[in-house]
Amino acid sequence: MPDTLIDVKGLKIHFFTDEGVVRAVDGVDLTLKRGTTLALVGESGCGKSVACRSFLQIVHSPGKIISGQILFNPETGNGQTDLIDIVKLHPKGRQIRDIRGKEISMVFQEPMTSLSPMYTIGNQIMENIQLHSQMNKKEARRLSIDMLDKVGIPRPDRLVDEYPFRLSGGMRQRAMIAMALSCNPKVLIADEPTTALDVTTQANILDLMLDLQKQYNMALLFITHDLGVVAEIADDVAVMYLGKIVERSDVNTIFNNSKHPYTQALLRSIPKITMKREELDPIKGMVPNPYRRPGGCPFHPRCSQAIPECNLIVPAVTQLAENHAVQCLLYENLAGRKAAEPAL
Amino acid sequence: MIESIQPSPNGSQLKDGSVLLEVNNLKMHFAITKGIFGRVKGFTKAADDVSFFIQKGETLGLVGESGCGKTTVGRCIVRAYRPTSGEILYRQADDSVVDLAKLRGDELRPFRKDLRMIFQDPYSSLNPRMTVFDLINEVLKVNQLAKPNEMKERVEHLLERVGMRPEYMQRYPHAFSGGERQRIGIARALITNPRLVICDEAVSGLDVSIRAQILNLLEELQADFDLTYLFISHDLSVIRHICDRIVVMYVGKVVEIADGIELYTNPRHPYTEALMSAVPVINPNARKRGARIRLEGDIADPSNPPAGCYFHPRCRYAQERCRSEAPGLRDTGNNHFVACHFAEQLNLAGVRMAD
Amino acid sequence: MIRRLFLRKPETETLLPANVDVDAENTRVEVASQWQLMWWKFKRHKVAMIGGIVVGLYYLTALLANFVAPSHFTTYNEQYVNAPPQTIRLFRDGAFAPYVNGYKFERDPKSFKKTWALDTSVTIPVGFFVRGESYRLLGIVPGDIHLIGPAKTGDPFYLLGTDKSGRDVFSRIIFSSQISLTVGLIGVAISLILGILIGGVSALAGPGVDNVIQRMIEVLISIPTIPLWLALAAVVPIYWTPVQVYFMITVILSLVGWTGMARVVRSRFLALREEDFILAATLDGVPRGRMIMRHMIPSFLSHIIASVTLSIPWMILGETALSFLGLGLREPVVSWGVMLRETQKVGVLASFPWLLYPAVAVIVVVLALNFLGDGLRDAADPYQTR
Repeated sequence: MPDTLIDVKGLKIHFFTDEGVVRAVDGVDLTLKRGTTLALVGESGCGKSVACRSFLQIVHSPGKIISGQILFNPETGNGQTDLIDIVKLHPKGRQIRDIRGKEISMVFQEPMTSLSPMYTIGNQIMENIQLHSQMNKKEARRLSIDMLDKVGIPRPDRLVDEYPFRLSGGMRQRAMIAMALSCNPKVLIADEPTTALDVTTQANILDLMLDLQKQYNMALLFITHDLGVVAEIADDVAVMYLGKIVERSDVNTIFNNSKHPYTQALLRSIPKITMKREELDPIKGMVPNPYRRPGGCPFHPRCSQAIPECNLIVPAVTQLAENHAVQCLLYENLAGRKAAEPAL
Repeated sequence: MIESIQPSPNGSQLKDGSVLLEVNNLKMHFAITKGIFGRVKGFTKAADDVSFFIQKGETLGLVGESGCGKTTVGRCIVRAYRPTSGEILYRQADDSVVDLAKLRGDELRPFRKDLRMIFQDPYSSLNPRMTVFDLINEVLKVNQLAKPNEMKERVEHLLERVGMRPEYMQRYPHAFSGGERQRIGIARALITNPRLVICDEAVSGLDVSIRAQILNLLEELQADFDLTYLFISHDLSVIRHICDRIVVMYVGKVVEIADGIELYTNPRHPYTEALMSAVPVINPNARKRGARIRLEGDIADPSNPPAGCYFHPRCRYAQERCRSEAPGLRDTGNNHFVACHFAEQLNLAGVRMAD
Repeated sequence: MIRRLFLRKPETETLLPANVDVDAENTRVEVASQWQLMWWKFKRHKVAMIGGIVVGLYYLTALLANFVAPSHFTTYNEQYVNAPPQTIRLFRDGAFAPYVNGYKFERDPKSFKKTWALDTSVTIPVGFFVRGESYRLLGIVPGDIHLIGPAKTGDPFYLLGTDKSGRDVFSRIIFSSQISLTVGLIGVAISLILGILIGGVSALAGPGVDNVIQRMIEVLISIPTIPLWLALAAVVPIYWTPVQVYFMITVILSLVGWTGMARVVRSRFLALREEDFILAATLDGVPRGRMIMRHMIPSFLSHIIASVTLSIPWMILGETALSFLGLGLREPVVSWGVMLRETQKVGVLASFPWLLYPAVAVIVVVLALNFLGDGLRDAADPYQTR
């Protein structure tokens, strides 16, 4: 059964600024399947937010999608023939607006700036509902209250008429989730939804999102830089660095058997609450200036396992197993061999 | 010089030569004003009767969520604010003790070099119009702590020590990344050879891969310069890594103080238990979804806190007594202080340490 | 390609890459000061650059008015009263030989009055750097060369016509710039000082003082400006010399103009107080005076410059308005407002429309200053993009 909802192939998004061209997303492949959670992990400047915004054609200018496909499966029952390539849709056109909020929804990091301060919570949820359905105002309001209840907001019949500034950060984020899910989307994209929240609130929101994912049987694309959150909620993980996905696999493999030096270094450099105190093993150097990308593999200047070729050749995607892909020269030559063990 | 002669709630630690700073009953209330004439409507009790001490050479963690008052306490200690009431007893190099809370204006000047702060946001804590050299040197210049011909060398030396190239002294902050800026901030804090450094969320604003670099740097510098740290953070993993002892705060109050491993494996306050439970573990096999303690409701409002114990509306163990009587900080043995009526009776779950 | 050298610090064991940038351009950006960054950003704003050039030309002309203008602003010729403008034609008989047409008397068919009109049969060659009236540039340097004028001294040369006294409008417009453009500067300087002082005190002296000052400002700005100016101008004694009146005008204009600057300065100070780097300076023990001068003001100096540039046109318009209404400068001093006084009668305007050219001069400089100020304001925060 084809349960792939979004299939991204070779996505490239470049930003054309006065100072030069920034290759924010530089050839990304992803798949999102129904009922699963894909975590997109990376540090600032890796392009994860930009990539996800492109799924709804809301990339900020001066960014432009310059190549690739974002194949969305609307599941009309006709199988492959009805796939919509979102890259080809006009950002202001009718088709993408039908998809936004209804088929693919998004939740952002800062609830205060993503909820309009001028309208009540109820109004904003109702607007989304009425845009995508034939409900009248009364029915839409009823549904809004139901949604607020579902996301755990107390006294939803009262809070539906409140303005966002009345609510705390956690409550606003719940309201945003209610708004995003009000039309039963197939895919929910969450761009660092808990980064701005306290840890206890974060825990509640994560639980809520996973509960709702199960209820709605959605695909959840979760963007974060927090590996702890990834470990908690993800089924699959894609690690990004400077616009490329350097490693992609299921969550157990990433945490226990990762192959890309960046993934390994990242895991080694993070303080863990369960570990004894010992010196952290940092990744040397800094994320390079996006206008001055290193040649070859983008990570090589900071890589403890770099070989001379890393400076010159951009690694291609190597499929190490059915659900394990890596972009690293260390594995490229080995992938062909039959009885080989990675010599590391 | 004022000497502390009364016994403090923490016992008579200050007579113990190993204590560098002692905070007693610190209160910081911010007035909420309304109207054109600024009539005072109420108070935000950012810090409400906070007491703890810091020992020489240790790293004391101050942890809590938003609104708990940890940043306020840090700023009171460096006297960015004037506390509403309470004592901040500081032991100087010659062993005499002074109450920083009572000092005004220029009286604070001699202490500026001893107590320094590292800020959270590497972008807003460096004046974009000043060169790196000027930023680091300012404190030396303003307090005449070095001769003009020595200043350049001192700054160069320290920049090298924090991992920056001294030639970059003439550059402006915009030329540097977040991690580099934080190193500049660290150099600025350490240029006076301070005795106590307040790290106010010093790594929270940095990328994950840079945090480890800065944390390691802070630890090395502590050894080299014989520093004492007050490390403020909301990130329990970072606190776990770098701190010797930890103070947990909730809505302006201290709820628990304990040694590092003790706090994490054997918390005695329900809030600490919930906090530990909420932290995501970096191990997919240890998912806690079913077992996590869910805290209902939101963090209490510091301008309108609940009666009795501030945590009682969200506490799963709350009893009648908690609604009316605020618990004081008590010693439950093993250097473990808790502000809960039932600390001894409760058997709380801590973090399962990896084998 | 960027080559990186790795320095291993023996004590720390942390590998720190040292960026050895072969790329000189990037080093330039990194060592650039705030002013350099601002200049680079400003340069990209083409309209603002043009505005800047125009403003520059205006002030240069004002400085060298004696040289640029064909005649002095008081020079008159009762022969050529209300003469129309002589347009320069560049080519004669296929060759580059600029010339203007002469004048002939005509009878206006409607009013039967004698008026001057252009006589296409008469050609008066135009020269550059010609000899003309003698002058003292800036009151010091004597000379008699003019940028443009009749090749034969004495020929009528009125590029923009003459007024009712037979004075050259073009020359008078040029000399007017000396007054109109400098009123702006002096007025703005006074407003700036008052604004920074009062705005600063308001922001830093505590909420009580702040309240009083802000309410006072609000009262001041709610008074309608033109009646206020009229009232203040009416106080100026008739017997004052033009110079004294000139200074009085600048004072009057800046007395109301400072409020805008004060509010901007105040809001900047208040915003700065919350910044971490100001707190860091406080914790360094920086005393109040040094904090303001060294840490705070440089932070918003660029915004002040932009603000100042945008308030100059306001002053220019103010002086023009006051003089136009007869309440500012008067003859024999010349300014654009004084020149426009002659256009108040519709009949005059219908017959001699070239008397409106001073308005064009005002419009152009005000527009140019606005573009320049906009460009400066946009460039004022060079760190915004980072």
